[in-house]
Amino acid sequence: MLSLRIMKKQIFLGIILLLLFACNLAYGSLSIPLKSVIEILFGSFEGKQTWAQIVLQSRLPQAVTALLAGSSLAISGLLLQTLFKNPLAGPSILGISDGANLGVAIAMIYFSVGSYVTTILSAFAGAAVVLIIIIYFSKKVQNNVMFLIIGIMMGYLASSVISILNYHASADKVHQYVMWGMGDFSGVSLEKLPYFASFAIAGLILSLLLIKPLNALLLGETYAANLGVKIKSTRILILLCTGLLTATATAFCGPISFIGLAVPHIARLTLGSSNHKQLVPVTILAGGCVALLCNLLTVVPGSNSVLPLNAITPIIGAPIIIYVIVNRKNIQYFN
Amino acid sequence: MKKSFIIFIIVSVFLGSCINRNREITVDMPTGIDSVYYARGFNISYFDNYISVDIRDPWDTLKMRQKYILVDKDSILPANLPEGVIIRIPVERAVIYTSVHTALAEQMGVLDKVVGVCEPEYIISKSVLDKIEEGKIEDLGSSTSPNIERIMDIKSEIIIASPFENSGYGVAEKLGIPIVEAADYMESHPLGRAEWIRFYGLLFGERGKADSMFFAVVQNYNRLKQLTAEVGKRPTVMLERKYGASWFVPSGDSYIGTIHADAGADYIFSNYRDSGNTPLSFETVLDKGVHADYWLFKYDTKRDMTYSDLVDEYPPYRNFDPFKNKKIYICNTILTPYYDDITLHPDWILEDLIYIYHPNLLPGHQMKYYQKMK
Repeated sequence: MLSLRIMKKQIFLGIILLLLFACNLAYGSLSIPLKSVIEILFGSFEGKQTWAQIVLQSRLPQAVTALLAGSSLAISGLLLQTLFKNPLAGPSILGISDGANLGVAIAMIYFSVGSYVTTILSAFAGAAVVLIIIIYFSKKVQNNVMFLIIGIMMGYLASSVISILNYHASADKVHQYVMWGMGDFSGVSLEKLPYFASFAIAGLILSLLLIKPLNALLLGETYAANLGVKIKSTRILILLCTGLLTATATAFCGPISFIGLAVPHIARLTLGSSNHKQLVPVTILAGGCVALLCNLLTVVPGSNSVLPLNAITPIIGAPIIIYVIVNRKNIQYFN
Repeated sequence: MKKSFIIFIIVSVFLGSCINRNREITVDMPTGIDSVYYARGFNISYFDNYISVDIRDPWDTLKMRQKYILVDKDSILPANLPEGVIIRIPVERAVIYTSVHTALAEQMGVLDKVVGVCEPEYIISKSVLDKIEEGKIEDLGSSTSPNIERIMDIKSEIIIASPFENSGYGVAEKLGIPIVEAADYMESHPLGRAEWIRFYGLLFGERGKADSMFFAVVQNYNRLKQLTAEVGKRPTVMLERKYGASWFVPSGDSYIGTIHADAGADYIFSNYRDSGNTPLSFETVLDKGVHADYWLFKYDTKRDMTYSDLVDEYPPYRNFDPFKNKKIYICNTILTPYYDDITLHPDWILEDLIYIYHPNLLPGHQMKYYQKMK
């Protein structure tokens, strides 16, 4: 039962998403005329071969990656915020992305294997290990705040091991690792895109299936249990879904800050509601929009260089978080 | 009359300053070698009872970064010394933070005066590793925060460290041990970087040896450079590869840019003039480098990279002509002493590069650092 007002908002977001996607294809550090970009996309371009390669092999996969990674991170943020009833929860808070970081740091710095595939695999492995530990604790510790603290501790543990590894690493390796840590949508090539997309889409579909239990959780766990929601298995499902989405995004794009934390708030602000039936699709759309916008902003106009992604995301993310904190009473939260 | 008086005054003031300056003796040049100075980062002036070495700030060449006053250990400390960091020479016990400068000490034959090094895991030299094993050289841990207590314990007289922009040396600065800022890596000419050996030579009392080593390098480098002066076609070359979203390319006037130009190649970003490395987007590099003749890059994994590794890493690399034509040359910085030799032996690296770009100029040369990617 979607009201017209909400439908309108979703369509509006969809249009913005398409526009941003188009901008990502048309605009980059190399200026390619719009007409040529369109011709390239429709396969009728006969000019400079390099331009076609740039649009099809670099900009297109990058835009799709940004879209999916943004949505994935935003949804994991939303799921965690609902699960913990904490507006400041996000994918990085449970240590899952720190686990991915640790995996990459071990591979890159300790074993000196910096190839693309090993980076992804080690990020996945790191995230999975942390996720398994988290799920183990989720069975032991029922209190959500305490559980959140365990997650944060996991993150600290991972970061401290990373510090030790960095401390002993050569400048080159540290540079390589730091570059990875700055986040990057350009790493997923057309060939790797199907792998990334299938994991991300699987996670997003799983999140759509979680809408009902999520809404029930908003009423409180005892209430939800009375409604027939299996609290324990729901918790594990939510954690699995978040873990899958965060691990995928982090493995392929590096640890991207703020999107997961900020976008659910953007979604709530636009909707004025915390009904997940509307919130989940809007968060997916808004996540894609924000990531595409950030990706666009990494290109410095009139320069050949690009800014690191994680230098851009907080510029959008931080003001939103501040707004949320200042105006907390006015926004529909967890009720 | 009045006019000639003024001229007299001017001339005498001028002469006076000259006389004052005459106390500085210029460095003796071996005969037969062009007495050109390549380094921009330091200069050495000799005085009656001390040597003054001024280090320019590599990030702001108008500023001076450090002044070292080198005074012989056997003589009494002169009373009228200018302000600066006093180092008594020859240094008998030195701590060296970087593997590069440890390698230099070894090449100068003063390894027995090195008492501590940082990050031995990046040292390739067998004799240094043996000395660490025997305990003659202390392992001081990371160069960003070395074991200060050990440095004090081993009674080091100086610390040789690489400076970074806007950053100090932490607690080490408070030990009262002079820190020699080895800013050679900021030199824009390969021989300028090599010339720093003359400063290091002074520290260890090996002035003659260091000078002759340097001039031998200059001679060999210029002989090799001369070979490419008349080449007909200068192949174009692109360098390095992308990390994260950015492709860091060395600027045209960096020592990397210079050495490739001297090897008879046209580096595609030679017009980039900002110091150090410039982060470029993949698009920019592809646009500029797609038809390059050669592609050279360095990497630091234990296993040698192959064409398929490169595709795995980022498939659009395939678009570059050097990829299609198998003209990629790679340098493994873990398995070859590239970083040990780049400072003092740019001539050896130049030799490899000339062999890559113009194999007919150096027939039968065996490459030491680079290899053809398989």
